[in-house]
Parts: sequence; structure tokens; C-alpha cells
Amino acid sequence: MTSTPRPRLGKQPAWSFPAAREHTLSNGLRVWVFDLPGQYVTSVAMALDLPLTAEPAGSDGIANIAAHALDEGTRALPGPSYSETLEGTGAVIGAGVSQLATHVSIDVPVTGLVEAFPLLADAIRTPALADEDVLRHIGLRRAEIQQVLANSAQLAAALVPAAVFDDRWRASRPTGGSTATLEAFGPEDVRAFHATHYSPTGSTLVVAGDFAGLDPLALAEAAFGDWLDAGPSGRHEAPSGAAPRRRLVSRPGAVQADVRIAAPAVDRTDPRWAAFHIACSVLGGTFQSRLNTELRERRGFTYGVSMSTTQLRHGGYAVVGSSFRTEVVPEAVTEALRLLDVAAKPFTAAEVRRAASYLTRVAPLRYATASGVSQQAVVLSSMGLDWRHVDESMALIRQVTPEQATAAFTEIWPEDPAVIVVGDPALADGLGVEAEAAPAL
Amino acid sequence: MDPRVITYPLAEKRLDNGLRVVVNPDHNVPVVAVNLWYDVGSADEAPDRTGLAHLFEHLMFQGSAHVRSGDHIGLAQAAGGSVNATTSYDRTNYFEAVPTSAVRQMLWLEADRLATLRETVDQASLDNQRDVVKEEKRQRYDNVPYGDVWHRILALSFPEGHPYSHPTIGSMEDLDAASLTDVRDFFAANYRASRAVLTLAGDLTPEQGITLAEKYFGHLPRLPGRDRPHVEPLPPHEGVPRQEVSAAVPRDAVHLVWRLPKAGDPDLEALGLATSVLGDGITSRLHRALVRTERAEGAGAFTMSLARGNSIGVASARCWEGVTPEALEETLLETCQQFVDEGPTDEEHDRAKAQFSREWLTELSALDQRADRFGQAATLHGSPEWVNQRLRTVLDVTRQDAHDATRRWLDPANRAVLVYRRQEA
Repeated sequence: MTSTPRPRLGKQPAWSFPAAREHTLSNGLRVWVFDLPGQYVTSVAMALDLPLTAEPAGSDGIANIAAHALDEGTRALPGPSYSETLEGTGAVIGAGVSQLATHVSIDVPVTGLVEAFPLLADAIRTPALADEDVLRHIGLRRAEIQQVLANSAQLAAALVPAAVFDDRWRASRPTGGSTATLEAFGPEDVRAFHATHYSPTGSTLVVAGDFAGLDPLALAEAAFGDWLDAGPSGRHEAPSGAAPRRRLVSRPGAVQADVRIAAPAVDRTDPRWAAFHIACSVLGGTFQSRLNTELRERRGFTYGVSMSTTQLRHGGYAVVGSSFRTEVVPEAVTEALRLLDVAAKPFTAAEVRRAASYLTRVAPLRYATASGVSQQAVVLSSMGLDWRHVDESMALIRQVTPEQATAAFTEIWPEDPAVIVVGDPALADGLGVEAEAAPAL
Repeated sequence: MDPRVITYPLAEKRLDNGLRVVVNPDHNVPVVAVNLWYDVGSADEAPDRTGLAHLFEHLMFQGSAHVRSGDHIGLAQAAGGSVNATTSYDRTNYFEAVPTSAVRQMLWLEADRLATLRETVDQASLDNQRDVVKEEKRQRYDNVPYGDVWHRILALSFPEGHPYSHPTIGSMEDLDAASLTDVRDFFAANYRASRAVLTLAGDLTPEQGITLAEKYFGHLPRLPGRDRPHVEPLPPHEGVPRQEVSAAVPRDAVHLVWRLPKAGDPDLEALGLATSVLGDGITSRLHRALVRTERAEGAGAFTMSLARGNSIGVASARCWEGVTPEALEETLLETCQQFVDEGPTDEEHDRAKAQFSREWLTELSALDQRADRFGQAATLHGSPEWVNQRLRTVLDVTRQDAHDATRRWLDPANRAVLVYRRQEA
């Protein structure tokens, strides 16, 4: 038998988010350098201030295609010679598009940094975007849509934006565009989009790692210092919410249904953000959250249920996500909605304390690697915030009272959130909705 | 700085009860990764109790003599930690990465369940977690296009009754049949100090790490360990075993499968580099031959390292809309055959090494993944020092080594084939 009583926690180690060396190049590009001893794989990430509202009307997905074709060759290194050269340095390049920004980054051992840095700049500044590569990427995006339609969890997730935002807003539509909008543009348009919108203004370059004597600022200046400003990109929208509804998307014979319960929420500048964040954590952010404890650990309905938030520059949304075996779906949805009725069961001091403890104490671990730091920094810069926000938000989270968490959640989360179920059409009666065919994406 | 000289300091001790303790001090951030590698996996299951090793892993979170159900994860998260466990063919790992303030508590939690779970596990927990695991099976395998691909690859590669012939998640029938007695017996047979490696990586000294291990695990009984059961290596496939499945998948897909040497064989590292040239990333042979030409939406190749008898190698592609699986298979085969004939070019081989270096160093840059690799090294490769040696070993693989290994193991004549055909809705 265990011979010792359960040890108490020791003194919480002092920690704060690594401080950046900040610099602005003459063309306005912001550079943040994070010196992280022992992180031999460095991370260089560009956050382009490029909201999807910049896409031409009807050409949803053009930003995504541009980003994904960047590494298919540059003017200096056409075709595969670009990626061959880049990979030879040990680097890997990645590009991603969100409603707020386009992110392009490399991870590279510090031994390859000097070589790889200008190659990242090439991809961002002077990609070839050759006809055949752009057309292939449009084809690959079409294929990806077919994969999403065939995958219950991905389809459920893809239906969330339209369920939370009114269709006037770009944020209500898929970041990568739909089959129809992919028809609306070609290689010429993608090149024009790149030329107009990839620009240092409002963009941030983040460099993180153990630089072993190298000067990352000098590398940044050499790679990006003469990058000319192309002018401002699109405006960041403040989307309004959609009328909530329930939908059952038919997947005959599915052994499980994927469920999403979603509603518009707030961004990080909202005074209630910390309290709302705590509330979502108590409900579905940890293993012992209200939702997971009831639906997994007590009832065995699911492998897991979670609640997450997504923040835009203005506004955002919160989503409960899970999958349940078909037989229990109506009961699981009813129970989840009951658990989300926080007014009926306000948060306790112990719950709020535990959530705050988790959210603040996990930071040293989350930001222990170069890519962990750089990813968080680019996300914050895309929201119009800076890296200091990590420490500031932790201070706010520590101060949230149970009353504030309860008030923030009941104010922000509606009584009738959107409910999306992707599953067997026989669930229609139990859910009180008509089953519909999978929508065109 | 040459990446091959990056070495992590290590201290190692075997406690009297057989527990191997590995400590890797790293004071860059105030975090410690705690990792327990138990030398038991789904390959140790009885043929009619598939899924038991993984179901058991779930039960390890259902409370022990001094811990209530759910509190293991709850305490770790409240302390700011990440916590989980995974079950694979050759091992089960349990891990927490926590601020330094919580290390003692995590060790105490791990020790409590190792000491007492057999007595405390009950029918209610078993029934609940059986349901949860069945939901996991539905979510990750049964309700996902191509979700059974790995199960089919295993079944193609290994004869019935072979320790790797069944998937770790098990079958619904066997999960339903698992009894409390099975669970207790499984624990008694496999969970003991002498079958585990405890790794502590992070902000503590070797002395502190070993003292803490003694304090929390030292009282556990000394029980015999084991030599991992020997499994005779199977020869390469002959006669192209083939399986065709019709399923609700978005596109037809083709997989070529090879039997490879087991983990620890020098050829396996050479094959890791070779399959990277063949099928990793947009410069790879398969991407050029299949994706750039719009024959496939995706294509790749990789090795799966296994400890008993054989590992597995796979080259796969998913049809571009309108391309038949027959045409795809033909080009896939031609590309593999050409690669076997030519081997990698010097440039390709060097690129594969550069990419491996970055991937390996990235893994080791995270304390939790590094700790897991030490556990793996001590369990499967004899010593945690394997982690410090591995990069050098791989960078020393010559182009000729990679070509020789490719010819020995990836000859298309020795493939098995799995084809998915799209079932019309």
C-alpha cells in the first residue's frame, strides 16, 4: 500500500511569457524576437494582416489557394527547385489561413536558419504562383471538400460558422471557399490577389529560438527590409449572429452522430472575456468539466466532450463538440443543453478556482517550445494584440469571481444556441427536426 | 553547432524493486515531464481478449486506494499540467507534464494506482469505461472514412494469432466479454515496477529525481520482470496478397504494404530515410509522380516501427477524381520499382537527413515528448542513451545503405496490396 499521504502542491514557480525584443523595419513590418535557450529548432512566422474580407466578392477561397501555393516555386527558384532547396536546409514550411490573417512559417534547426530565412521571404514576397500549380491547388481544395463531406466530425465543424453568423458576413462562410466559389477565379486572379494584399503594413514577423550567436534582427532586415508596402488589406468585420436553429444532416447508417452546439461570443478585448473563458472551461475545458463528467464519466455516452472558443478581431464564437452513439443522441443533446443552463446552476467558487488554476498554471508548459511561443505570438498579433496579452490575460483570469463567470456566460450564451447534428436520419423525431441532405460545401 | 552533438544529460538508476528511473535535468522552463513506460501492449493480449490493454489503460484513471475516480486527471490539470496515456502494440505509456510545484503529487498518483489498482477497480468503472472505449472505437475508427485502414494493413501483414494481427482498440465482442477478473489478472500479470521505466525530464536535478522516485515507488514489491516474448520474424510477402474493400469513402485508394525488420535493426533507420525520399512531402517521388500529375489527391510512404519480429512499411495514394485505382496502382508500382532500382540520389538522401534532423530535434525540444523517447529507449533499445545516439546513427546512414535496405525490403515483388473502392451511395 502507498506509504505516504498525498503531497500538497509546492510553491508555484514564477513564470511569465518570454519578453520579445521588438523592432519595426523601415517599411513598417513589425518584428518580435524571442530568445529561448535550448530551443535548437527555431521558428520564423509571418502573420499577414489579411482578413478574408479582402477577397473579391464571390471569390471565397482565393486567399487559401494563394497561401497553399506559395511553396510551389518562386521567381528565383521555380517549380520544385524551391522546396528542394528549402528542405535541404532542414526547414519545413507551413501556411494557414483564418478569417483574420494568413500565416506563413518555417521551423528550422538553427544550423539552417541563415539559409532558410531568405527562402521564407522569397515564398512570401515573390512566389511564382504558376498556372499549373494554382490550378492543381484549386483541384486539391475541391478534393478536400469531398473529404469533409465524407467525414462526420469535419462536416459538423464545417457547419458551425454558418450556424453562428448571419450570412452577410464573410465569417459565416468556409475560409477555404466552396465548390462554387472555386470556379470564380483562376491563376491570374490569385497572382493579382497576392500582389495586392501581401504587404508589410500591419504584418508581424515572429522569430523564436536559441540563435546561438546569430542576429535574427539582421536576418529579418536583410530578408524583408526592402519589401515594398502594397497598401492596406481588407477591413476586419464585426459579424452579427445568425438566427439560431437546429439541423440534422443525414448520414444514413452512421453508428455515431457528431454534435455541435454553438453560439456567437466575444473577442479578447471584451471586458467579459476572462470571465467567459473561465465559464467555458468549467463547462467543457477540462476532463472534470461539467459536460465531460456527466456525459462521459457518469453516462458513458461519449469518448469525450469539450467546449472551445474562437476569437475574431471583433467578436467570436463558442462551440460544444462531441460525438455520441446513435441511440443516445436525443438524450445527450437534451442533457448537454441542460448543463449549459448556467443560470439554473451558477458556478461555484471551487469550480472557478480550479479552472483559473488550470488556465494560468498550464502556461509554462504550453509556451515551452519555440513553435509554441511563435504560434501564440502570431495569433495575438492577428487579433490586433501583442505578446504582453498572455501575461495580462492570466492576471485577468486570476481575478474572475464565480458571480462574474456566471453573469458573463448567461449574458453571452443564448438560451437557444444553434444545434448541429450529423447522423442517422432516424434521429429526426427524437431531435424534433427534419433530416436534410448534406449541403453543398 | 553541429546538430549531431546535441546531447541531453542523463542519470539512471534501477531501484531494488526493478523500476528503472531515468532523469534528464533541463532547467530552461519550470516544468517537469513525468513519464511511465510499461512494457505491455496489445501484442500481449490473449486472442479472445483484444482491446484489454487499452481498456485497462482507461481504468487506470478510475481511482485507486487514495484517489477518487477522475481525480488523477483533475489534480494534474488543476496544477497546470497536461496528462494522458496511450496504448500501442508494444507498450502503454502514462504521462503528466506539470509545473515543478506538482511533481511530487504526480509521482504519488502514479505510485498509488500501480500499488493498489488491482484491489480497487470495480464493476461500475469497468462498465462505464467499456462504454467510453466503445465510443472511442466508433469515433476514431468505425464512423470515419478509411477508419479501418490500419486494421486491414495489420491483418494483411500478420497471420491470425500473431501478436500484431489485431488492432489495439480491439473488437466490440471482446470488449463486451472483458470481465473484472480479466482486468485484475491483466494487472497482476503486467503491471509491476520491474516492467516499467519512470522518466523525469525537466527542472530538477538527477539527485532530486532519483530521491523522489525512491520515496514514492521504492516501497512497491519486487516482482519478477520478463524478457519480451520472442516472435520469429516473418519473411517478406510472396505472391502479392491482396485485399479489396468496398466502403463509404470519398475516393478510391491504394496501399502497398511490406514486412520490414523489427525496431533496432539498422536497416529500419535506413528505410526511414528511404521512405521519406519516396513519400514524405512535396519533393518526394510519390508526390511528383502522382500528385503533381493529378493522378492522386494525396500520396505518401512511411515505416511503422514494431518491436517483435517485424515492422511495417506502407506506400499509399488516394485517387484524383476520375482516375481509376488500377491506373493509380500501376503508377504507384512503377514509382516504387524505379526507386528500388535507382535508390535515392545524393541530394535526395541528404534532404531526407536534414528533414529527419529537424523532426527529431523538434520532438526532443518538448519535454514531454523527450521523456517519452527516453522511456522508449530504455524499454526497447536497452538504454536511454539511444536518444542521444540516434541522430548520429541516422546521419551516418549512407546513400548506399539506404539503397541496399530499399532493395532488401521494399521490392514491389514482396508487397501486399489493399485497395479501397468507393461504394456508391
